[in-house]
Amino acid sequence: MFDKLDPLLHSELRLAVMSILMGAEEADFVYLRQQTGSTAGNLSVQLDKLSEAGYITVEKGFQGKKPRTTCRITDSGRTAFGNYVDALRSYIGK
Amino acid sequence: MESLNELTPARSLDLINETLDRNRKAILAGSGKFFVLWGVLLCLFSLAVWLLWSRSGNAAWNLLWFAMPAVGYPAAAVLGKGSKVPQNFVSSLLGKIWGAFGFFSLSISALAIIAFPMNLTLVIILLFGCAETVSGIALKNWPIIIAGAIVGVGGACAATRLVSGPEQLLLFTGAAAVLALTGVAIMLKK
Repeated sequence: MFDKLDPLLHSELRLAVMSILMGAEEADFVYLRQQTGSTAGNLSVQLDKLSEAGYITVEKGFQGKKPRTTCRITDSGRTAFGNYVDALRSYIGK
Repeated sequence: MESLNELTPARSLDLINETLDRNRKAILAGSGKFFVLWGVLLCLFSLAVWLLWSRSGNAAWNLLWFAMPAVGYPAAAVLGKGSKVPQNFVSSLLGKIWGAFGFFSLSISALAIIAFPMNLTLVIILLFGCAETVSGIALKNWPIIIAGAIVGVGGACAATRLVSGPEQLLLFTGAAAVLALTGVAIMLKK
C-alpha cells in the first residue's frame, strides 16, 4: 500500500524551498531565489502557498533601508516534510 | 525551476538530497570567510606585538591584544553585511565555539594582568587548540581535529619548554595560519 504524496510538497520549486528551510534556521528571499534558480514572481507565489498551508512563516522587514523577506519552516512544515519523505520511500521501497 | 507535478518519487528524493547538500555547502562557505578574517587578524597582531615587544623590550605591548576584538568585530560585521547566506546548526555552533574562546581568552588575560599572573601563552594556545578541535568535530573534518590537537598540546608544551619572551608570540602566528587554513578548508569542504 503506497502512502499518498502531499500535493503541496510534490512540486519541484516548493520541495526545493522546503529542503533549504529544513537545513537552515531561516532563509532570505534572495537566497532562496539564488539557490532554486527560480524567478522572483514564481517563488513569491509558491511561498504564499506554503505559508497559507502553515508550512512556513514569511516575515517582511527591513535590513537597514532595504526591504527583506525572511522565511522559516514551522513545526507543521517539518512534520509534513518528514511524512512526504516517508511516503516517497514507500514508493521506491527504500 | 518550474513547478512541475511530473516529479517521480526517485526524482523528488534526488532533488531533496541535492538541495540539502548544496545548501549545506553554501552555508559553510559563508562561515569560512570569518575564520580567514580572524586568522589573518591573529597573524597580524601576533607579528605586531612580537615586533614591538622584541624591539622595545617592553612586555606592555601585549596590551595591544585587547585591540584585536575592537578591530575584528567591526570587520566581521562589515564582512557579514548584506550577506544573504543563512545559518544552520553547524555554522551557528562554530560561531558559539569561537565566541566562547574569545570570552575565555579575554577574561583570563584581563585577570592575569590584574591579579593572577600566569603563563598566558600556554593557557590561550591550549584554549585555541581545544576550540579548533571541537570545530573539526562539528565539521567532521579530521585534518582540523588533528591540527587543533597539535596546536593545543604542542603549543602548550612549547610555551613552557621551548621559548620565552617575545618569541612565544610566534606560536600564535602559527596558530593563526591554522585558523585561516581552517576557513579555507571550510569554504572548500565537499
